[in-house]
Amino acid sequence: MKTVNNFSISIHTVLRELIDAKSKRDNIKFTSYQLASALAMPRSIITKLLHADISKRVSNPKIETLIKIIDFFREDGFNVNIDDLLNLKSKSVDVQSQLITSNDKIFSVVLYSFANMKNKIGTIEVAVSNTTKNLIALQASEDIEPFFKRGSIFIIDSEIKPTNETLIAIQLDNMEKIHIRKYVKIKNKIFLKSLANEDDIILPSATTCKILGVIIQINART
Amino acid sequence: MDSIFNKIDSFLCRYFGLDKIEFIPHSVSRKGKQIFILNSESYKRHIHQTPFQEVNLKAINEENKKKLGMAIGKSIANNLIISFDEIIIKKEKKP
Repeated sequence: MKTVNNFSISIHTVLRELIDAKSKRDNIKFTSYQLASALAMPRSIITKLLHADISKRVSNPKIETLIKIIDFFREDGFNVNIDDLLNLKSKSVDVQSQLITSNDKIFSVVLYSFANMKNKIGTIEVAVSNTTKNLIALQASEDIEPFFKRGSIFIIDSEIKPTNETLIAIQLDNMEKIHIRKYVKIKNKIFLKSLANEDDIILPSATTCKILGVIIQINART
Repeated sequence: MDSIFNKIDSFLCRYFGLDKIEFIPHSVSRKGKQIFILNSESYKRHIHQTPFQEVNLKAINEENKKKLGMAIGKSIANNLIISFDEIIIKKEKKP
């Protein structure tokens, strides 16, 4: 298990895509060395931004370096900006266009505590999609930063496999306590991001991280 | 003087049936650790921004509440719905 910086993943991914896109567009292989010489900067800087091993990547590049990279690709005709490189764009979701489905069904679900899954609190009845299979419910014994208050109930489907950008419940290092993480898949690599701090990322390994299931609904306590 | 105007205002509002304030959520956006709801209010023309935790859910009708939960879920993660329904826990009887 290792904690890495979110920016290094974003910069690596976007920069790699830009280099590949330039090679494809120009029909000539464009390398990181060529990029470094075009920017008049040492090769090692670009190599550290693009290193395949996440632990060897530079996590706090100079703003000047990033601006030079963006300027180079913009002048070359690519529509990219610093927000793309740092993944800073905010996502807006329209409320009125949401479609309310009528295929919800009432399920009786066993409720456990976040602190310990051996601790059965009781049962609850929840309306969820009728395609769900094996449900469990977890009640937050403390605030789940930054959005959910103590007492909020998380409905988990243990049979759904996590896909990119889904919320999952996990247990770490064989401990009973349950954590909420966002499952992010970038180029076949899996990262588990914290909800409170996007820079706090876990690289999961089978021995230290047990995925309990995908969170499909949260009954938020307000 | 203010209290007299307030009384006249509430009397006229009741008379014309304008006493129900309703929030209509328009969009949800996430900025860092905060989720903001852009909503409009009855009898007010402007749209204002409220943090998710501070929204008065009692002033939102059931349909909009469901839609709001779906939009907040989408702004947090894929395939996630936020529900504001009250849940009753049936506790186990100890032997």
